[in-house]
Amino acid sequence: MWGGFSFFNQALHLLGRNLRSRRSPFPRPQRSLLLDLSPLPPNSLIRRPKIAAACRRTLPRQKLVVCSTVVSPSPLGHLTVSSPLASLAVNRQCRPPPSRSTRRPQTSKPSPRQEKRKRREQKTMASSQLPGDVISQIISLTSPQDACRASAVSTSFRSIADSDQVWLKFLPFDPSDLDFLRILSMKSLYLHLCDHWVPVRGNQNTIFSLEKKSGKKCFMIGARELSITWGDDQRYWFDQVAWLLVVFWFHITIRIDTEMLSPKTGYAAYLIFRFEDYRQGFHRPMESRVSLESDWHEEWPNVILDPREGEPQSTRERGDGWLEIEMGEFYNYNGDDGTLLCSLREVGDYNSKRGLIVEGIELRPKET
Amino acid sequence: MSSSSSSSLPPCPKKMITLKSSDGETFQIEETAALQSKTLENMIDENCASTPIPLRSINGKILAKVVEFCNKHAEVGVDAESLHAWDAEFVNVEYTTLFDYILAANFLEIPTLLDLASGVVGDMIKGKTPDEIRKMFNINDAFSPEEEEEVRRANQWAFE
Repeated sequence: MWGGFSFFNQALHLLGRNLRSRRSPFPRPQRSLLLDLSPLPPNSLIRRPKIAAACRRTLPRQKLVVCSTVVSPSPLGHLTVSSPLASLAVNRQCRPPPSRSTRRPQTSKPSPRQEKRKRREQKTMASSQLPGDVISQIISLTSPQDACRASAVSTSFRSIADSDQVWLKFLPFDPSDLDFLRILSMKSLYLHLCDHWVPVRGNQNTIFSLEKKSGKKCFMIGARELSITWGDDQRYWFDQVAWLLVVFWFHITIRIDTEMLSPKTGYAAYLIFRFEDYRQGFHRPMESRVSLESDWHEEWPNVILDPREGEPQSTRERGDGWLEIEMGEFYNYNGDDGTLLCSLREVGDYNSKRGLIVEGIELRPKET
Repeated sequence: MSSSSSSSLPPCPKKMITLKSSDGETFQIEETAALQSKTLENMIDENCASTPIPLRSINGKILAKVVEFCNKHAEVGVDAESLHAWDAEFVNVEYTTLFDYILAANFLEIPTLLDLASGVVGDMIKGKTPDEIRKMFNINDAFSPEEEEEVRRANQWAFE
């Protein structure tokens, strides 16, 4: 992956293009992350016995561990943590835990005896004494944002609102089915997935991330995965972005299984692109289609990538050096509708088009 | 012929269970309805249900509602939509009463009632500030202002 990345930079550098400063998420170098190793519950799902044994031997309960994470889901969300990582985690555990952890409130689950006492006390009106597991259930029925707010309520609320039990519910996949070394706290895993793009099924060109407030899945399909039809064959690939030299026909398509998208969610598809200093031919309307592959209409809405002066502008600066334009919307019911197809084309005329750089197509929950 | 002979038989008497609330009220509930509660199911399995079952943590007012809920959910031939509407009406109460439902459902282990009431409380705390949640849950182990500030900083995005 590093090789590909540096090759990418090198190639661009050689060509004297100033793309390097514009950060593309493809492929992201692995970042370091603070992972919470505590508490390692006795029944945690550690499938690699060796690592599990090492962890149990070396790690006292409740300890923070710093390690670099490699989260690479191989079907979507199928998390694997490579063993070098695990050994790193184990090796570095000698580092004194941040003092924060020592002040961390103790076990969120009361002992059976405490629970019994609690129940006795509940003989009287007891609305303030909901047991921890009930509060945990209530919080897990809210949203990640509400859970974070609830953590500022009180010490006991915080230990519940930050617990794995709650955050497991917010993750859009079930880690218990997965070959997953459970050394991260679910909250830190969640937040990691919000801040990082993670490859889907090991495919570096289809990456996903979570929308922080709702936990819904966002996808970015890199230019490498786009099926691009050029009228002539003058195309150039620079590792991760599609660079359009000259074409007459313009047609790009992606397909994604609706099963991968979050259910009961309205998505919008955006073309992520920018222009070179010299561009030509993109002021005409392009036919933009975002729909199930099985749907068929005579006509699709139009978008204009590069409107002339005075015409309405529908592109938006993303703040990362790229522009985006909404291609269309799609409501995903249960993810059993087949394949979603997003396409953009302009094949009506034979005017040449040049100077477009496509990073990919992003699918994210529609802002409401 | 066999059918006529079976119809002439007196209907099998419904097996009833008696529950006794913390304030001494007694309630009759059919065994089939009571089986929704894992706690009661265990007692029935262990033959402890022949005498009134004392439920010291649930008062008569709440127990009456819980019995009503179990009876409704044990009815046969109720379509999902009308049951859903009935449920919505059932939990259309003050949150203090919801807490009592939750405590009762938690004690009796009635997952349908527990999920229903917890979901409503969850909806109630959506978008609420920590202070509002504190009031609602009658919390008395609040953070010091400095500690709260630290937690807020750590979760800054959620407060924006």
